[in-house]
Amino acid sequence: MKWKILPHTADYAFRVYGRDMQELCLNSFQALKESMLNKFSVSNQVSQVKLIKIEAAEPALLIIDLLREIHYLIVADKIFPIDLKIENLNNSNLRAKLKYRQLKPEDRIINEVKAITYHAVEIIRKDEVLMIEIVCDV
Amino acid sequence: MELSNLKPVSQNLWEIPRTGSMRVPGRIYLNKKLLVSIFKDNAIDQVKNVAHLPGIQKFSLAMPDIHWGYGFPIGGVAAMDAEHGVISPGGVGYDINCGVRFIKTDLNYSDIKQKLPQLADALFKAIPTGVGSKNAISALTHRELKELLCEGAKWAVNKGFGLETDLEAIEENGCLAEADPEKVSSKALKRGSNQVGTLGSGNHFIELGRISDIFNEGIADQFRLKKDQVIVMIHTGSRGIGHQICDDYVYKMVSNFAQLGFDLPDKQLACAYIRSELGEDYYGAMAAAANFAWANRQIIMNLVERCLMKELRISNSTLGFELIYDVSHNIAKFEDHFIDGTLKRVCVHRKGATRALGPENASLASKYKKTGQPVIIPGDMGTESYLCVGTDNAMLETFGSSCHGAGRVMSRNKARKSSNIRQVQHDLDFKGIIVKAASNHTILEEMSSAYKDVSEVVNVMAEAGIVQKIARTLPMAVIKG
Repeated sequence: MKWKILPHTADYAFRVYGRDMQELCLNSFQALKESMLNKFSVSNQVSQVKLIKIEAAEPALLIIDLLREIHYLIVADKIFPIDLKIENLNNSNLRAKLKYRQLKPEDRIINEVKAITYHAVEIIRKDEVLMIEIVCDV
Repeated sequence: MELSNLKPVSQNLWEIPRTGSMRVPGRIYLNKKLLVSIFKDNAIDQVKNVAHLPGIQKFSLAMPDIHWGYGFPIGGVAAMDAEHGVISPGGVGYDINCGVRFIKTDLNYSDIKQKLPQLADALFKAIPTGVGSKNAISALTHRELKELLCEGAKWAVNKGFGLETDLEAIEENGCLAEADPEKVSSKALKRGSNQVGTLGSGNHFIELGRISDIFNEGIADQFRLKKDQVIVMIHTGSRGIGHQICDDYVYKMVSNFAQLGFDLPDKQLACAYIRSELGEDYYGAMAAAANFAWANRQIIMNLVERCLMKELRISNSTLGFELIYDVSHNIAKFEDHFIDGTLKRVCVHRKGATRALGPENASLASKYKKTGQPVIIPGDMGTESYLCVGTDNAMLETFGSSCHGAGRVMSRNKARKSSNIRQVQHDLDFKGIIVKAASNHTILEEMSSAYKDVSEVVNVMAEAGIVQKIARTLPMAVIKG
């Protein structure tokens, strides 16, 4: 399992799993994308690539700030993210290339995520698997 | 957290004793029935977490619609020392100045009963709703948007949306003077430029209702409200610009947090000292978003008025549209309150809570001096709502604050899975309520069983003497995002 939705009374929360930090970042990206956009409605023809650079004090914040960046691109720049390739990752820096195309009329934002929060964010290791729980304001 | 950890203060008030690094105790307004649901999630822990913030005065408070949020609980109230305390964007929330306004008409239920389907359709077409809704009015240039951010509801009135007299029926007259558009990022401006006059999604709504009960004839008379009168409620906020301003400043405060020299139990409580450069920058940007929200509700109100006049083919004098009040749910504001017998300037954070000033308060317009400030407490789309007024006791106990709604008890995801659209629609039809929504998901997420019983919630506030009930309304047609 890459990720799953968690019960949250008012907002929207998901738990993401990964064997290492890179997989945790990629699965978090996938969780956000599938939470916000109708995955069945679209072609995945890439038209553009954007370089994303994140700097943060700790790994959990790298993931939150990566999702914040992608969330902004979806809601403000109206992009449909297709794939994320991580080029460089350490405890305080992340550099990745986001492949995307512009949102089309047939695409549907299925969940109005207002923002990605930092609520109780931490990376937990359990049985050689990393986990992070992310709460989104909806 | 267990029930045994809560200390009863009175019939509807429970205290969380100060432990560990808490700077003050917590206090929660709940009756025994509502108390049962509170232990299902982490809301009580969030009340405790807020009590760790530097400068917090008296108590970390929670109203009876309390439920699990992020950082602060929804229904949370905290007043910080204005000189030495902190300000936290997590104590305001992403939908800055999400709020609700209550408008009376001179129409009677019987005047429009047969036309409700037509009116619901027309309102749904007239006001952009749903995810990313936009273009209710022409997109604003950055210059126009910055003017709006400075002027709030007055900007909308000056553009022909409503009357100058509306302004005195809005908290802060619809404008926080400290707004500073220069502290708003270009990212946030981009998200706001084409969303003025739009409802958005989720729990935002426009409701056409009727007054079913009057509890206080004297005050209802002063507001010119009577049984079976048609009313309108509008619930929305600052849309994308508010979301982005909060996001920008939580990021800045998380990044800067190590400099502050104290620890907090949740990163979402990230904060800055009110008198620091970052604290003042956030307040200027937050105030700008608050002004956006007041202009937004002012414009939507006018669009609703025009729509009703057109569909009913009546003049504005026959419609008799008049704003009773507009309250904020998510905001931080500087107010004067008595702390240990001394009047003190504090920054009151209300996150999912409503200001509820008592009679004679200096901040109120003259027409509310005798009654106290109107407090609007909507239920869900299938149940009643309440118009109340604030009291002297609210000033003593809650920094002049009340609950803001019913409060969720079920996650949106569970709500979607626990029923189906046919059943929810059938239940609404049975009650004679028309609901128009941008998506069926919204109708499922917003079904009545996803919320607490609003009457139970309001009665806790009334029995505790925080508000006085004036009237109850029932929904007839609801437009959802």
